[in-house]
Amino acid sequence: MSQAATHHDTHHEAHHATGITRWLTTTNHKDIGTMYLVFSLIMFFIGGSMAMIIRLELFQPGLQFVNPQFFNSMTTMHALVMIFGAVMPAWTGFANWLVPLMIGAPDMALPRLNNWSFWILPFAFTLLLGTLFMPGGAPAGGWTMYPPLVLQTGEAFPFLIFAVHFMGASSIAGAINIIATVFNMRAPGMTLMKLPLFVWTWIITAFLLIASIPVLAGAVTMLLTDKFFGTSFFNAAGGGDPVMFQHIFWFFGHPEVYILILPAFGIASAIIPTFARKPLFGYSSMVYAAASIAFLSFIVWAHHMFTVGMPLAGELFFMYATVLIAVPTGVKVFNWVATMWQGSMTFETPMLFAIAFVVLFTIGGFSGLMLGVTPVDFQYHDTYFVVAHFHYVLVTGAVYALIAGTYFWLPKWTGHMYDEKLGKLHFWLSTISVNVLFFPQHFLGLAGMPRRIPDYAVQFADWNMVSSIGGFVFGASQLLFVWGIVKCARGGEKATAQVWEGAHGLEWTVPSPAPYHTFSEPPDASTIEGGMR
Amino acid sequence: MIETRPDPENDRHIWVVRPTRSLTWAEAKRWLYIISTVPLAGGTLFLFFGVPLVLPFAGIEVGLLWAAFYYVQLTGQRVEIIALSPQSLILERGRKAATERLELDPAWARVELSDGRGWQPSSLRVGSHGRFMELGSFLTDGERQFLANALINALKKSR
Repeated sequence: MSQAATHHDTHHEAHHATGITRWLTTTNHKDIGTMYLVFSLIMFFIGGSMAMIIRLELFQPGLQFVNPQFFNSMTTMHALVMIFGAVMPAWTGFANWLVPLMIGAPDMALPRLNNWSFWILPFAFTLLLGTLFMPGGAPAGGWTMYPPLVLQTGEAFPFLIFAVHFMGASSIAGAINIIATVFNMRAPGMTLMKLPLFVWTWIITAFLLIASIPVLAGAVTMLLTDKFFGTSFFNAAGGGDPVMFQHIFWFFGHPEVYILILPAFGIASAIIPTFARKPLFGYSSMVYAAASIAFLSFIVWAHHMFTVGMPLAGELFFMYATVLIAVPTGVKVFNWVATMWQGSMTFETPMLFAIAFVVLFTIGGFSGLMLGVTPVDFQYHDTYFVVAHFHYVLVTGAVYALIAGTYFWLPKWTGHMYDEKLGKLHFWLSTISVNVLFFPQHFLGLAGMPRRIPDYAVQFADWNMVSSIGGFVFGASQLLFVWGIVKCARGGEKATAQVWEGAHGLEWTVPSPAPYHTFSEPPDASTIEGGMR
Repeated sequence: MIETRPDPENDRHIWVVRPTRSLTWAEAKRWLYIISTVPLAGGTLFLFFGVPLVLPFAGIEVGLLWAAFYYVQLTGQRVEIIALSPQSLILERGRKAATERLELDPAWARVELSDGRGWQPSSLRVGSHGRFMELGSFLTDGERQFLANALINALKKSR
């Protein structure tokens, strides 16, 4: 179709493909962001269903529903799906939707790479989830893939390795794109120290991805060559060292933890000032704290393997370095509390989830400190205390921030306000049940219950039953979340451009829903204050 | 990025069209060195400890990162200048500076915006009498629509 000058109106509708072609070929950051978020939600429910199977089996002692091999597959797949399929893509979805809007860019710097980095994911998870139907079953050696156990995996093994490679490739492409976008496409006046904290935390996350994913790629490829090509990198009988794999894996694995949580810090730093109606306290210190956490994440990996055996100097070094992370993390928690201090606070659903994030993530942080102390870790290692710790960090930390962010920006994405009553019901049900689910696991761990077992001694029965009931309620309450999103997407009260009275930043200057194309003319970002975010 | 520069003294409208870029190549290189150091140093360290396969993956990734930045910087040097006065519509484009020029009579100038299909983005052509120049190929679809509308409206007013 051609449009001639003499017959043209000034109001152009956005032209883009429709139907499935739109989603397959789109290079629009908002479309790709939506695809990431929908994909991640589906993965949350797949990974969540696996968690329900785990909690069902652990409801009482003895083997009731599944055999031990399948139980171990569930723990392994639950972790892989939740980490690589749910939380990481969800953050990339948020970044796609929000980073160009926040920095005043018309789109991502490399839009086609953006499309590819999303479409790699469905292939990766088809490979991974397909292993559930293979002879020998899905991988069951834990998401950490320690040899020699993981080498006993059946036909699923190469599928696991290639799925991990695809997930890594997708993450790297996303990280490169975000770095290129933020550095190259900021609107005039948007200096680095004016960037919203969500953008800052994502730059640091992208840096962590670039630094850590090649390590994972190398490690799993060496597993593959050990299994199929006769090498002995991790085979003690051939002169290799299985403990070396643990060092390599956790050199990737610990930064990975911060890849999952750093964007959550950015979300909390956007929501809390909005509903406290105050600028964020200590913007610069928040940026430096996030960078410090990222740096420290590379020198603490061996706290995951204190009990494996290492020289005393090594144990001490990794213990002190781990405990040091509490300093920048404490700065962040202090700043969020100081932002709320004497603020004109209201408690809409995003704020409720953000406050719960601060409180519950801090509980996870404190139990992490306990685990970071070497002699104490000797007692807690591989017990349910560890399970409780990382679920407080990842569920009430990362996932709560994702939920808070969804409620916060949903009006900007859909153009409608969500149902506040439904949101609050979702919050209270989730927050009560998630604590019923995970807090008793501290007691189980302290009493000595090992993790990754389908059956247990009768002494652990009561708290396991409580934990399972919490799990079922928490799982079911997430259906309210989906219902709320669908309801909001289908209609409701019209959202204004600013949406929230206390919201500041470029994304709130465009209409709701954000038009398909935004910032065709660069906005003036010189009046934006970094501290407002 | 489309910059509109009204020039009422000379009765002209000028649009300067550039890809949105906020970093020079020198600044980009500084960041790239910083970002590349950790994966390459990590890979080398692992090689030293008998783990050879981390370094090749780190190398591939760092190569991709540099290629992506180089591509973004290279395309970022393109510039197009459109100057409309009652007498003429002058289109200039090039890398760093204008190297191609097309002068048109505004009374006959046509603005053609064709829709994108799938992977193919939309395209904007301006010209008359069989001589056309494609503009804004590095812009997003939305920016191209914005530029097309701005040109169409300015041409209408100039007639």
